[in-house]
Amino acid sequence: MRKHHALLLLCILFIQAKLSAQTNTTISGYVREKGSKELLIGVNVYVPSLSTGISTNTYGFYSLTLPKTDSLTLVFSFVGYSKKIVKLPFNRNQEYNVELESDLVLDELIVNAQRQDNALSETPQMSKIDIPVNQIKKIPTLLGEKDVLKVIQLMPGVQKGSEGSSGLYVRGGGPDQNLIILDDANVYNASHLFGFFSTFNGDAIKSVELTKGGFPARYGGRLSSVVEMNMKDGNKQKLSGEGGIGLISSRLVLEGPIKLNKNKPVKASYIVSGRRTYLDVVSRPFIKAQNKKSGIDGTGGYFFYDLNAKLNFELGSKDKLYLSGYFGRDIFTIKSNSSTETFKNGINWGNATSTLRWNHQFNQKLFANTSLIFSDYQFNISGEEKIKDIENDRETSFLINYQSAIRDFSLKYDLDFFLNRFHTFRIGLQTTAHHFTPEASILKDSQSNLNFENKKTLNTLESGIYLEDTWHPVENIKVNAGLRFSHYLTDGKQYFKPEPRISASYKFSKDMALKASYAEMNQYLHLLSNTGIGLPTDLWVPSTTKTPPQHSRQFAVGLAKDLNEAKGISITLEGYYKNMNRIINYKEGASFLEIGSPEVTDKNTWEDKITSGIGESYGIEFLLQKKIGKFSGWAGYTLSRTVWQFPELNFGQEFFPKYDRRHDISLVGIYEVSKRITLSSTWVYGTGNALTVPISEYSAYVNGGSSNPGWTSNGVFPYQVNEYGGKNSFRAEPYHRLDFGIQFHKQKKRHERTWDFSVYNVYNRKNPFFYTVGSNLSNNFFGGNNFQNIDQKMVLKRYSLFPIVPSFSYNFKF
Amino acid sequence: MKSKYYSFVNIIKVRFLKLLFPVFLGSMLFSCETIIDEIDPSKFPGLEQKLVMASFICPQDTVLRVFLSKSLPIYSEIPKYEPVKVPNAFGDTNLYYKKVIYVKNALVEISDGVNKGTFTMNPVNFEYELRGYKIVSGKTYTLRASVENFKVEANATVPNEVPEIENLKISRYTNYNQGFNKDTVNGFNLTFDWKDFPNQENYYKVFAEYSNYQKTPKEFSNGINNKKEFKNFSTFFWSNNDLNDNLDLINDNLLDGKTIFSPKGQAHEGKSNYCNNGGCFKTEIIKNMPQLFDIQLWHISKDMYQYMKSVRQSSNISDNPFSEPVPVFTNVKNGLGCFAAYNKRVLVMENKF
Repeated sequence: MRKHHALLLLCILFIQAKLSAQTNTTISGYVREKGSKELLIGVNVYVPSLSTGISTNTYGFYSLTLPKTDSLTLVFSFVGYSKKIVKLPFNRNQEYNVELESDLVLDELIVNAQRQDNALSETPQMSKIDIPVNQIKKIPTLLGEKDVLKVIQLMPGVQKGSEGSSGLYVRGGGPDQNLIILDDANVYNASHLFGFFSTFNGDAIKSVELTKGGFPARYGGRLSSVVEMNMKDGNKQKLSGEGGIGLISSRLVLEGPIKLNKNKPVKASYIVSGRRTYLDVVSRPFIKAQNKKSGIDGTGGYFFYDLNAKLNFELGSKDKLYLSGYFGRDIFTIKSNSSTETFKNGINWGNATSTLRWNHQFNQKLFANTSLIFSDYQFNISGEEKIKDIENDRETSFLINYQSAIRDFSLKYDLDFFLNRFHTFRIGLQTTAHHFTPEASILKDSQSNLNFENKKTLNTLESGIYLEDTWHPVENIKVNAGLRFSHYLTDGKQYFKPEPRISASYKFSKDMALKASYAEMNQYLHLLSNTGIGLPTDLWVPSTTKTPPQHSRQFAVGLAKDLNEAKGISITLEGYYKNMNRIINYKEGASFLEIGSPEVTDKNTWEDKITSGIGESYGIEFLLQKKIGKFSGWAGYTLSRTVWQFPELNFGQEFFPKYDRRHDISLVGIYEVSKRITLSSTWVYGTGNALTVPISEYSAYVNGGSSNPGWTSNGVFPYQVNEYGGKNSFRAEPYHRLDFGIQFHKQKKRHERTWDFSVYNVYNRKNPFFYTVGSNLSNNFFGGNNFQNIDQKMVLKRYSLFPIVPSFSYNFKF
Repeated sequence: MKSKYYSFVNIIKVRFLKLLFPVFLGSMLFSCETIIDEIDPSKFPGLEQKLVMASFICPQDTVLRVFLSKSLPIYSEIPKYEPVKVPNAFGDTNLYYKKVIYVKNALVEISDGVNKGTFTMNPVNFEYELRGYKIVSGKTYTLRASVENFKVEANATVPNEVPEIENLKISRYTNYNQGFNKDTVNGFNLTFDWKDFPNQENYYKVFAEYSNYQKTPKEFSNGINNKKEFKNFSTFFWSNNDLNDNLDLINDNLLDGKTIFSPKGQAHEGKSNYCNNGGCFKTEIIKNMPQLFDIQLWHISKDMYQYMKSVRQSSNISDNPFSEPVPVFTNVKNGLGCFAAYNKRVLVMENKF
């Protein structure tokens, strides 16, 4: 029966297409940036006479099929670019490529008159925010490191984790529930320096798009959000570049054309970018001095680096090839030497991704992309200790290595089918072979003749096919409906899940739309994270026979109003309800690191340490945004509540997860005082994290049963335990912070330079990083509770990380 | 008793942390000078000292015992702990300073709704005792304690019956080159099973102890404290996989009405090493004195299961800063601790192995 329905639908579509071909005509093409020829994503192509339009896809391509007419007016508009209005004869199929001029090169006054935003009320998509890449560079940040993910954290519905962390907590979801894609490749741990900086170098990024709900069917595999980033293709006109020298790192981007034949137009270009920190160099003397104080001859260092590269070739007017890659590593080492003891240890982690994409345009209406993707994430801890026993002329050694890794190979095929002005279809499939090494350890101890290696790997296959239709049935209604089937094969077990998705908008006035959406998502990978202090000790683990995939359902309704289109002011108000099933967490008492005897390590796997439960999150988000003009920025507010319930945690009672946040406010303002000076400021406020802290200590007597009178009273004996008053029942102090930045731009002969001064945490708020209970008389990190001291009390201590931090950087562009 | 790997596991763990912490602390150091502040107690509106009451009753008891103490909230001054006399293996007593804030002169009463009993405090160890009060299977009891401004109470229902211990198997083993002293250790393996009561949630605890009489090694018996004889107790450790967890607490989840097999119980003979300049010498087992196995199956209440499990987990993780915190179960109204009931089956047999 279902088959018949599908056939009938196809027939209708075919007939409709045939009929419309007689009366309709198609215009298609690419939209590029004037000068660099960079393809522009998400440009609004609008037909005012028919109140219809479309956006360019990820590869800058658009196609519109409309009734034949003598002439047609098309409006091309995109944030940060001047609007282009063209009038064309429209009685035959034609290709029309457009170049838009960036505002930056236009005079300020003209810009204000000409600029236009992509009206929010025009699209059926909701819960989606385009992060303006230009604004990212103007927003003040910690130590001047411009950061894409930090800007996303300033959006309503998105919360950050602890101080400095670049993790995203979207609508009650965890940091693993975000699909972070860079040129189609998954990035697993998008952070440097224990989460203080994200791995994405803003200079090389062309577009950033965050989707929090109402997910289109083309996305799958995560519950809470999609952050899709695309790298720039590279300037096709001339060699250009930009870079910066900051307090902790320097960066450089170079891009330019690849001229294969001097007499022909440029068909290829490249972009390369790199960033490296010099924290290791800066901190080395301090660490050395600190160690000297403690009588150790030792040193240590930390640095991270990123490399991005992309090549693109136009094989013909209908084919394009892109090869892009990312490679980043964080490396941390500590060494110490003495006459009797040497030790060396370190942590390193990082991602490597590469993507080969081939765009093929079959005809004016059918556009295809094929991607081959590789992604690799690794996390390693290593430690080596050698002790010399001079008296006995012996040496004992101890070695430990711990690794967690995930490696993916994917194939992705997507078709965009621009049928007519009522229907745009997207059809595609993706399949990923995951190779997991959740935990691998090597332990060698010469003293106990231990030589143990434990490496368990697991191969799984994750696939999805989808069909998505953007349907414009009548003038005021737009619908994006789709269905994704996801399939997962692990350890002989298969999961097959349908995921319906729909979002719709009803435009009840020229500039106001009511939107609603529903999406089901499944997630086959889990992130186990329990330190809460930002160490990258998180393990990526797959769904297995014991651990089924996580699942979520999300409803959202919202209002979008364009208050003043010319000034680019819009307002959105959204409410959402999300429930999550089979989410996982560590069991009480579990630790990622439980290395013991070979037997223990071998048998105590991650699957034994986790437990699954349900979660629920709901909230209201408000966003007032002004994208253009001398003053731009946004104000966001979120009121939300997230609750978890796990049979094995908190005695089965509901509790707030750590990042449940009742109120979250962010204010961002950028003011272009003149062409030479830009002021910017942000203020954030968030309810404190829900934490479990000990509030008292007591003797818990248990009945062990032993008759031994020496240490039990008829079998009963006390253990010292803590009272916590319920899981996560302590609320940390609220987090708030003001940052301020000023930039001085100057056009020099051959380049433009910018001095960037910023102050992080202007009013020196001591925001909590974590809390511990310890003695009031000592600042020892652990212990220090010497109970012989009468005046001693156990008190709760707050560890804050960043006081007021001023910084500056020098940036250039040519 | 912990598993034979316990000390080994801890040594490895401590070594690992020792290696890791410089790295972690180093990261704090260079990211910025860490700022540490004491939090004002007003952040804890509910911070108060609580009365901690623990009592485990069963129909086989001749004396009921209640353990009363007070919690020590953060921000309160650490008191001077009082010593208690604890008998040692040689028949004497030692003074022990336990970190327990004892509660004296409390009014402690038990009632089944009809019969009431009042406990009296033992002045040696500050435990509250009640003799001659019969605990009956299936009945629900209320335990109340009050002192100063503290008033706590809790209820417990005694499980009706206990399954029979079936298929008991005991065997002897010898492990060579165990531990860091490359010692040879003798011990016993023990398993049994029982039939679960169907259509109800059941919780069990398995227990076994081996006891013998020993004397200090000859090499140590020339001094004044010569030839000390003592009774040794070796409690069985229950484990299926040599993990560092005692699996003596069992529930019938997924096993309702079926045969439940005990985990593998292991206990050493319990010989101690005495070392001097001449080397290390072992205690000797006195052959003509009783060597007994005390094997027990307890049918425990759900409260007792949750409480004992959470206390054990909580204390196991106290030395690992990476572990998730473990809240300890309580069923005591206005206080902490646990009042729970169980019923037990006991088998005592001589060592013929």
